[in-house]
Amino acid sequence: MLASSRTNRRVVHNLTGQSTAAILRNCTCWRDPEKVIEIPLVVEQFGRRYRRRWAVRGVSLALPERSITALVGPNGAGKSTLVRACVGFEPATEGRILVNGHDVASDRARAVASIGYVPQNASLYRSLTIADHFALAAAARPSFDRPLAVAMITAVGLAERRRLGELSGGEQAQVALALALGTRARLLLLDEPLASLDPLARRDLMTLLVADVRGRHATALLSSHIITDVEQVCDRMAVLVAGQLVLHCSIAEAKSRFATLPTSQLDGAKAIGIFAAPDGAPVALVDAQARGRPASLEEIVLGHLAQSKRVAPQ
Amino acid sequence: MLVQIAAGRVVLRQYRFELGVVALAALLLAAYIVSVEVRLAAIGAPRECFADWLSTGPDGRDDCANTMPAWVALFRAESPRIFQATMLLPFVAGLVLGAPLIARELEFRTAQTAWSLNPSRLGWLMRQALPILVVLGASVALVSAAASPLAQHAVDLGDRGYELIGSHGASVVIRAFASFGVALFLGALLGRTLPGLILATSAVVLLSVGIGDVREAWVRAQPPTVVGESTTAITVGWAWRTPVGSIITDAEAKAIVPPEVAQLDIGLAQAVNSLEWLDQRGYTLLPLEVTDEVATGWTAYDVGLFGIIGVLSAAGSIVVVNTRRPR
Repeated sequence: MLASSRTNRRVVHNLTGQSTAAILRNCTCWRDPEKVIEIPLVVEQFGRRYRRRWAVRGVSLALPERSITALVGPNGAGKSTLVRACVGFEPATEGRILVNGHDVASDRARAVASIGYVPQNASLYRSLTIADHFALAAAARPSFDRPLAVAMITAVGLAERRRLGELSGGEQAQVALALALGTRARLLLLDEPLASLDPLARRDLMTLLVADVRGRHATALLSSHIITDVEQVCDRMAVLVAGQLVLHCSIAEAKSRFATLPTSQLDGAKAIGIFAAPDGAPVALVDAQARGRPASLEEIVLGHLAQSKRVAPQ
Repeated sequence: MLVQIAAGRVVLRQYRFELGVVALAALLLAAYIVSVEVRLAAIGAPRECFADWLSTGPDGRDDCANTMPAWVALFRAESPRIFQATMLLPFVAGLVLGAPLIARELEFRTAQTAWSLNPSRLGWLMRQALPILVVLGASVALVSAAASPLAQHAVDLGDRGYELIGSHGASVVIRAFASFGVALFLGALLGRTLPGLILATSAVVLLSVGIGDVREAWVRAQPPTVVGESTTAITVGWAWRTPVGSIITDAEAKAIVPPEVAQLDIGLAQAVNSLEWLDQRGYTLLPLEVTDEVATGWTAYDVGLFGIIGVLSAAGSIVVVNTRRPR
């Protein structure tokens, strides 16, 4: 714990004063930034370009310890690129990423050692059994908690001897999560782990995730399309649209900050974004100071997506 | 340690098909070689007969004349294909085991899981490659060991040991590792197993041909001894013995030939007129030869060159694994 605190203090000190201030200022919903001394993940002006196209650009965010942050955004927004970059799979074209104080680019081994990662599509060995996967994980990570991983898959009705090729997409996702959580990593990066799951399996997976993160004070970044699900388990959100971060704050603060009202009642007030309600009527997302009813998380995301579509992002 | 052994067993299970094919092929080949050895031994040709056979052939000692023809017939029937197989096996085994090791991880996207679990990709590569290399090394070493007595028989029987380089001994094992390294590297570079295997096969063929050419050049560069009587020596040029007994080079001899005679050589594949002119005047054509013992010295260079290829391609694989983006 002592070593951990030292490491994380070093993270803060390692950042240039201006960058630290910028990151903390960008995280406008941190009620008391001075108290945030432990930052498992710091993304600093990160950009990733494929030939001429920027997949992600100018993204800065910091995840406080013990938080579960939802990374939401439409297809092609750059969510997977950002998550993959945190594991060292995508080199930064500009900016940098620090995991528990270690630069992913220059000190990848130490950074990856403190990450538990679930890829977008459970990329597991179809010919091997679940037990084989745990054996490989135990060889790779001395800290791998096999009993925990076994308990997790047993809890969802899977036996260790089952081959991955025999499992459904949802069951494979459960195994991938068990592998990631079994590492006992301080930072969990989950790239759309819910996409292939039915509602019940999603609930099970979320329950496991929350219990683990809260139980051992880990931190998680959960990329997802399914806003209603992440709303239940995440305490922070980051909205990524067209490779740019348009919102990053706690869910509670977002809900208190934004409201919606029919566009006909705007009366000249400035809308953050206008989108269609389920009945097709145009609805405006506005700042909470304006009139209107409190916005749901989905409406907050939709409003920001609409805003980003109106403004050319790049 | 137990954890690493368990992971090694999982790796072996992952590649059980390729490992099974290689190990089975090696076992069958080794068993076949041993069976040929047993059949040769059953003929009961005394060891001393080999020297006798070389000098007198079937007309030698009675006990040799009774056994050697059958022994030689069996040896000549079996040994060429055995040596071809033992020369081919290390390359094929290395290619089959090396190509999928990284390529398949990239192709089936399992590299994402593997590389996120393993903080060090080099460590991951070692854990993956080591069990495979143990099986590969054991398989080709078995074949190499089985083929060694047969290669000794061939040399005893007057064959060139030089031409058997790569069919037995350490060079078999090193060639397998080199082939494995090339396939590993190209598989990692392409990220696809089949294209990696095809490209690696082409590369290994080219490298082998290239090293074969270097070998020929090396032998020709060795100081020749004028022998002309050894059946195993390798002719690398020609010299002439003058009527007074001194030795001159082929160029010096040709310079003696009058221009009007040499002119008639033009257009002919060989300087027949010049040769006849020299022959008629008491000059004797002598082959410039490198002995088989000297030529077999190439074995060390063969091991070294294939070793360097193996090391370089392994280093290339490490670089690719460390820099590659998993799909």
